[in-house]
Amino acid sequence: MILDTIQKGRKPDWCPGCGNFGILMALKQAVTELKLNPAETVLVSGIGCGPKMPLWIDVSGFQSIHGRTLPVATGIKLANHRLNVFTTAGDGDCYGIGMGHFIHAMRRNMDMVCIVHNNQVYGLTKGQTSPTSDQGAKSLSTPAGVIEVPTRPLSLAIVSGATFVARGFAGDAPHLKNLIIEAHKHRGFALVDVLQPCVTFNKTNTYEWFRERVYKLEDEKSYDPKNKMLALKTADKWNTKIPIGVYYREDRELYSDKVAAIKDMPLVEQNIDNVNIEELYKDFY
Amino acid sequence: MSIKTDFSWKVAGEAGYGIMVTGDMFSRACMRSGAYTFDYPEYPSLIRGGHNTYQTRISDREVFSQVREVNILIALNQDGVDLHKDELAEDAILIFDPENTKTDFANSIPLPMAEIVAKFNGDKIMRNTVALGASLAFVCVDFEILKELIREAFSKKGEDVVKHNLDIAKAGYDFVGKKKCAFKVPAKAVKKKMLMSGNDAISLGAIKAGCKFMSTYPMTPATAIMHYFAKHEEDMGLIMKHTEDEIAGILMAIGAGHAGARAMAATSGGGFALMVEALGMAAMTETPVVVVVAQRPGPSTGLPTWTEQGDLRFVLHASQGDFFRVVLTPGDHEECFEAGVQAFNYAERYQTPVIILTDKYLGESFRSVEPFSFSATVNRGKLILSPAADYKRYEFSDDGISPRALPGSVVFGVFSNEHNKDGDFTEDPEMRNRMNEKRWAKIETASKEIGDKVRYYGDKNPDVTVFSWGSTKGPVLEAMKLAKGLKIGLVHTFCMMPFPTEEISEYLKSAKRAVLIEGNIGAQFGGLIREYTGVEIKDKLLKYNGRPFYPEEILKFLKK
Ligand SMILES: Cc1ncc(C[n+]2csc(CCOP(=O)(O)OP(=O)(O)O)c2C)c(N)n1
Ligand code: SF4
Ligand SMILES: [Mg+2]
Repeated sequence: MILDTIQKGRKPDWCPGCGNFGILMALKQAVTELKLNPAETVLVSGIGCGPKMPLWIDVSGFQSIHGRTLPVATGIKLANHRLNVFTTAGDGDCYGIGMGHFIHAMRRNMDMVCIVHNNQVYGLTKGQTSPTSDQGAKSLSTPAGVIEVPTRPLSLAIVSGATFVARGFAGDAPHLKNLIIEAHKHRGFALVDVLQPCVTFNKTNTYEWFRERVYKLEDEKSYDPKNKMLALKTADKWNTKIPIGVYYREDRELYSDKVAAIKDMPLVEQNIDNVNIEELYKDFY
Repeated sequence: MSIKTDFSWKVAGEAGYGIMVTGDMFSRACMRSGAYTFDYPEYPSLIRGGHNTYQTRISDREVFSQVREVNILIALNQDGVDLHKDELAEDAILIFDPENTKTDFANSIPLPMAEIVAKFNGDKIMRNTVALGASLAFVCVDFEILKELIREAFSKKGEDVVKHNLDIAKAGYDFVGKKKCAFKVPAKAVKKKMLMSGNDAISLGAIKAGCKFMSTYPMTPATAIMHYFAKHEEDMGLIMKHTEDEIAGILMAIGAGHAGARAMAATSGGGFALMVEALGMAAMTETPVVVVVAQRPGPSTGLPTWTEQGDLRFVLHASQGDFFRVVLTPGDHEECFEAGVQAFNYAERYQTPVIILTDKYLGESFRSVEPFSFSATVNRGKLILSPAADYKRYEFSDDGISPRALPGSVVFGVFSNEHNKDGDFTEDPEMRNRMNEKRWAKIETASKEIGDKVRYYGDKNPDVTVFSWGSTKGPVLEAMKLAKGLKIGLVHTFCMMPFPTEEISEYLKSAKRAVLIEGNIGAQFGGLIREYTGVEIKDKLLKYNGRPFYPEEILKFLKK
């Protein structure tokens, strides 16, 4: 893994200072530390600033379309469960247009890591509000301020069946790297929501704003991520104090554990050269 | 009185009263007795309370469609008579239950269905079993055949249930006894036949082709494909994922296809509308995927359980940008199987979406067929399992097709943005041209490689040449059989994209009278013919009331 941000001769085209640099670095370091085979590691992305990551990291990539990372990743993983599957999506991507897929992916509990670049704006389309924007946030699409209350993705994840729910901060790449490593080691659907300053369009939720508020859950001795009610309560924290770390974890059987066709080998390894359908004809006589 | 061995039987009544099961068993019994059959059920979009029918054509020769005329009508209620009396043939008999139905039709036979059921302490819902027994007696099918069918259907529920059904069916059978009947099932079972729908045939074709993955969302009239895959997940080693919506359906299939599994989705127009964006993603990333689109009348929810051919233009043009997709339009059950097999070869060979376009009429009509003779070896195109380290996903090539590696074997990326041969983003105008042209070149490659896009049936020197596609094939073939004196030819298009321009042009040139027949209001295929060949077929029969074509109306039009 080339840890430099220059990859394939190209530098990421993010704005200087963008939080996405920290996320990319954390992911690269995690993949390196986990010693994952880059060919066997697939990063599936949507569309947005953050989801451009497959361009600048030396693993296999599938850039899909806006909001649609999780079903593509699920198809890849079901067909070949030996692959390590990561997804990268914006907050608009995953919690807006792709919200339906997000909820159902968590119910399903496939073994994958879902990284969300949560900058509370639509960066790539020039700064409109996103589902996680604070109430009252002004933007080109909401000149008078957002009327709705924001989505709370972690609360949603906890009640929707996610088995690993974490939040990282793009301004603390080493901590984020550890979260991604833990998320990958977790057997099941792992959400890593990343607080990602957008230096160009989000003038409220800046590095400084986050630095004043974030604290690490692992520093809180009594915090038990297996306690669902506690996790839910913690997931509601936002304005004054914002925890980062693992909010919630649970052991639950994977969707793919129950799929008979892949008990012995990945679907893609089955021989399809001359499938015999004689037995099937019997249904019809 | 001569005995007819080609006739139509229909059962009609309230939904929820076992019309479908009765029809299936009647047809199957006739088939096992030696007949050829073609069945078409019609039902409204609800589970209970509406009016259902199941019509089956029985013949001593192979049949390709229903006809409008009914020879034996079983009416389970008053609607069963009222809604169908104008379909009755001159020699028809009407069987009804005097308890709930009145008729002044001369040749009618009161069958006390409710009374017989009551005698055996059966539920009212079992009146259809009386009707089934009586029907089979009328057409001289051996009761042993029905016995076997009832045993197969109910043995799981225990011997008591089997016996109860047998008693009631036998009472119906005996009520008719050896009464003279003008209709007879031809008893010459030479080959073992199967009763199968177009949806079943596509499923079998797909499984034969090594399709291992289906992800989709239920929508009439494609749902049976999903059910079939789900039923055979374990024994055939398949994955069938019922997704949260059709968007996820096609996306998962594309993901699985990218990973190397043969994968598909199946839906109708409304579900396909949701798949449109991802269809373009498959084309841009050059990922194989197969989608079955079983049409029903639109726009919007339309007539959810009826038939139409109104989505041809939609599937041909769906999604932004210009890109090549293969569109197959099978016309009968054998062609459904063929399309089911070939779709996966084409998807991998051309690394682009393949659509199998059917409709309610083809997908949900049942025909007696023999084990399919069509075979094709699995062709995975330019798939490479051990790529070199300097592998390039989008390498240029004359045929437009690049070598395709699978994730796991080498590091590479696929992108929905325009990209260069390494798979890196590009907005360079030169590279954009070259990539667009590379993908576009697949049309010519496929056009040369895909054979038999058009299939010709009928007289070598016809008075009238019909141009049609998809499920309209059957009724046209049957119109040919009915025609006395008029020589009919049928030019049937099986592969709509790449469009068979030369083939159709040739047939147009030699046609004495060219007629377009298709099931939509806009003459969509006619428009395509004009677009590709420059010829407008003005003489056209279009139907768009939700009902399939009847051979009788086609013949009437052709005789004009
Ligand atoms: C179906 C569709 N609708 C709209 C767009 C335009 N679009 C591209 S990115 C984007 C939003 C990006 O916001 P987010 O997902 O939060 O990612 P960010 O750019 O903030 O990282 C939109 C609306 C699109 N590409 N596809
Ligand atoms: S717009 Fe915002 S999110 Fe996008 S690259 Fe610039 S700083 Fe980053
Ligand atoms: Mg965003």
